[in-house]
Amino acid sequence: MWDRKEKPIVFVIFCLPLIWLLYSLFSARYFPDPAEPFMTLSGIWSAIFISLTLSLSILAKIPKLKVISRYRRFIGLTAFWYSALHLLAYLVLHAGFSWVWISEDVFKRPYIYVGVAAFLIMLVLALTSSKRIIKKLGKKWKTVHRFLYLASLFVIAHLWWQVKSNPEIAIWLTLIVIIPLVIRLKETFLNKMKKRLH
Amino acid sequence: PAFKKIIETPYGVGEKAAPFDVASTYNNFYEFGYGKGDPASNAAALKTDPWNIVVEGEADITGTFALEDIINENQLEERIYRLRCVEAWSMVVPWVGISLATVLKKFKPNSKAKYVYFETLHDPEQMPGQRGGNIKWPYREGLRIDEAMNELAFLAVGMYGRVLPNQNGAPIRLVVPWKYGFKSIKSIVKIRFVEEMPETTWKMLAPQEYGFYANVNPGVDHPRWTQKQERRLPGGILFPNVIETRMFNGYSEEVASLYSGMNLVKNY
Repeated sequence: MWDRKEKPIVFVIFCLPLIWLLYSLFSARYFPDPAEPFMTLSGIWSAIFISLTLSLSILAKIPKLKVISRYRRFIGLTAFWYSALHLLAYLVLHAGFSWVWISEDVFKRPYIYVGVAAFLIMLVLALTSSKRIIKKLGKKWKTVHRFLYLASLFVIAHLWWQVKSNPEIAIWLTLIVIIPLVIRLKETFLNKMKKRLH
Repeated sequence: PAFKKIIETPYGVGEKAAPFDVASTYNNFYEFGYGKGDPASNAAALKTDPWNIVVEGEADITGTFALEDIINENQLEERIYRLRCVEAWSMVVPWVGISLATVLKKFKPNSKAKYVYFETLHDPEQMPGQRGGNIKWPYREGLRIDEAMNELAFLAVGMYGRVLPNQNGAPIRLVVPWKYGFKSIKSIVKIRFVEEMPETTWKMLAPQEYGFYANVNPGVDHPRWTQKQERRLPGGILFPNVIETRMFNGYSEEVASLYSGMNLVKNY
């Protein structure tokens, strides 16, 4: 299963936030209303891993950090799993699976449906991340996976649409997502333009 | 410290109050931080004795009054009220205090007193949450005079039979059980009788989301979430106790007549 021996260590490191969240939840640290802290924290970790995913190709250019390009899929999938956890926290902890609550939110609230849209994109990317599908899709794979840029924009909208009176978290997360996003977009479009010129 | 004598009332008989630990460690009081646990962690240093309240505006009797001159300890009642937060969680709390009308009538408001305006203490030394952020302190709230004179409107100085913990708005706070929790202003230092509808903090911050009336109303959603249901706290570790939200938080019988003929969708 493990093609590289450091992989289990990386796996455990990526799981640490999850372990902490679950430990806090079951030890009643978030009592009496675990929805708010759990959703906020799982959302933050999801944004951090999305930022990491976007930063990968930038960081991999640094010679010493080249090794991280091996973990592209791993980090991308971790971002997906944390966003799934965030969604699950909403469904269980926040809405208690109440259909009234969920349907009202999903169909009427812009911040919920941009969040759901970001999740659905990431779901598609996660499902198309196996080696077999990468081979099958060939060049198209890259185009499909550029939809992460759109998902990141949805994540930023999702953040700002729900700021109440304290924008601190939204500001920090926007910065860590938007900086690599802008660099990537620049690279992508510059490359395309160069190709056309040649 | 506990009170010597508390008059029992029929309010909330049969309701299951939240445990004291829940009600005293989970609430919003931005003067002490944005987190639900921040008030309990940061409010210990608030000095609540002596405490003065300035009464001003359209009333015959105005001036600065000590808390004990305003609240007669022999009149303290216990009322168990449902508290519905605009964020869609709720709790049942047994308050100790006096009806707001009893207190306001002492000052003999005149015919120009159409509204009552309240202010929370503004003291960044004692209230670290007031040192930054984009809220224009002090916290302001208000009621129409007939709302304020309604028998349900309550001034609490205690809960669970004892003096209010600082984080819950000591030494004196408003409790308006048919309105969203943010109307129930804490640590009151000013009461002003006014002719015009006063500016209130959440309406100043986001007028499209929070109105002056802020009546609990399952038919009027918050722009970002539904108000049809609520999480009654405490729930289980995994599954919240989701219940239907009732019009005027279930106090229609007592307060619906205040709003007859009013468009409550427009006046949210």
